Amino acid sequence: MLKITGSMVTIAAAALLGACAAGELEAAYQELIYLQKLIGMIQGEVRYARSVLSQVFRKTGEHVKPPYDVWLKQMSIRMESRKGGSLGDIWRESVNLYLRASKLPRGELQRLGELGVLLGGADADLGIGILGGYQEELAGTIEDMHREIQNKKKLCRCLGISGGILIAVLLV
Amino acid sequence: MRAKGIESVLNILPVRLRNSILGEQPDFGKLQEIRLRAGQPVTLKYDGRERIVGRPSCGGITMEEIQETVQYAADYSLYAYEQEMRQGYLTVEGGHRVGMAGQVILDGRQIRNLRYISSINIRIAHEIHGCADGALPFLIQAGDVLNTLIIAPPGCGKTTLLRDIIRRISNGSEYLDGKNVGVVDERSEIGGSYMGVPQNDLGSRTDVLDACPKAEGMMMMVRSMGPQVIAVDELGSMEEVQILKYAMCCGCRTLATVHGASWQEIRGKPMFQDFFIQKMFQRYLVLCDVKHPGLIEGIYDEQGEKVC
Repeated sequence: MLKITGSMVTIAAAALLGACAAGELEAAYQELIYLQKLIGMIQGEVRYARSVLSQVFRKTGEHVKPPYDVWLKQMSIRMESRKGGSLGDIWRESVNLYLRASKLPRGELQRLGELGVLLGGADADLGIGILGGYQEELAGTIEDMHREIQNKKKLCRCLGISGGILIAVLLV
Repeated sequence: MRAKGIESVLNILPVRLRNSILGEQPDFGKLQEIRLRAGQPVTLKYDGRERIVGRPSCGGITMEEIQETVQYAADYSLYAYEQEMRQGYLTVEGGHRVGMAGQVILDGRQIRNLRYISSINIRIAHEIHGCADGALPFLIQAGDVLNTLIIAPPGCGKTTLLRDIIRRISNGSEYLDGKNVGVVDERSEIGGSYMGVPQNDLGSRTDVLDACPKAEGMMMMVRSMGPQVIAVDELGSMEEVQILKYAMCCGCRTLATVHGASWQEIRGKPMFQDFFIQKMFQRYLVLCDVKHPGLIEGIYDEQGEKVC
């Protein structure tokens, strides 16, 4: 009886781990969609109001969820303090500091970190175009991820359950 | 006299230059200009006199420091100042003007922008409450404001005087009841607006249209805000003159400034001929030269007769 109970618990725990891994994938997918919306908000502010970036970040930061709100607000504060560093440096360092804890995939964080160096130039259309281009790249990544995510989620769950069964068999 | 928000000026300078200026312990109340030139030391200007900051051994200003200053002045967002940059300057919080010189980017025959900026001139905006006290009685008749054109060369205090006149007319004084004043502040120098809110005291009945081209702004003001008095700084184009005439015909009193050395010089300019022929301005207030900023040389009536 004890062995059966132990086996069931082991299988259940492993299945839960698999479900968690699948959940992580889903969270990363949702995070990408959210980031795409956020970039759209920034782009809209620049395009419509031609506001300076520190204001755009502060205003957008008031309407987004953590950790993006902290990222945008802190970036705005650092820009307004004018204590050195280019916009590219401030953006990259802020991405690394405040978005590391987000569910965004590593590769996406790196790509996002490189975006800041291209913003803030004299040509507003260029900046808007760069943000638009990044949104398109994000859309591509989201589409790819959507295609893969169902299979990966199934795989994670199956691996969890089968791993659990394997451990249970080995233990018994 | 006080320099408005001197911190906002120092904040646009790179840390090294900021510290070297603070090390000189200048009297910011008297500071008129901060000049930065690539390869040269920082130059401050007090009452028309120059003061070099730092020792020659400290080295001149680098191009990187000039670029950093431009980035700070533009809040890392040069695109937001495209129109101003086209005219060679931008205005920072407090109404201080940051003039620039470098290589011009042309689009056909029109100036598109500046690049390789190598010189920066930061003109400190000052607010002098009461500087219009002497002139005000001559600009008002029977409780009504007379259409007035302030004439002076650059750096002689036109904007400072205009600002105080606006404040006095808006708040009211012993000569008149307070009036609704509409200010079209194309270069953000009169109000020194930051995020739409004037940083300078322009009185309790003043509406400011910030960073708006004067011609369009005057039309908007007349149509939307119903001002009794319209004020604009530095008339410079035929279109602005035409719209100002339109505003006068709508029953608005006008206060305006123009670059010039004398009443005669302005009268000789074709652009302003109608003002003199049709006697549209009742007062021409002429300021002295740059050695005596804010000092009134004379106030003339529509006939060119000196009234003060």
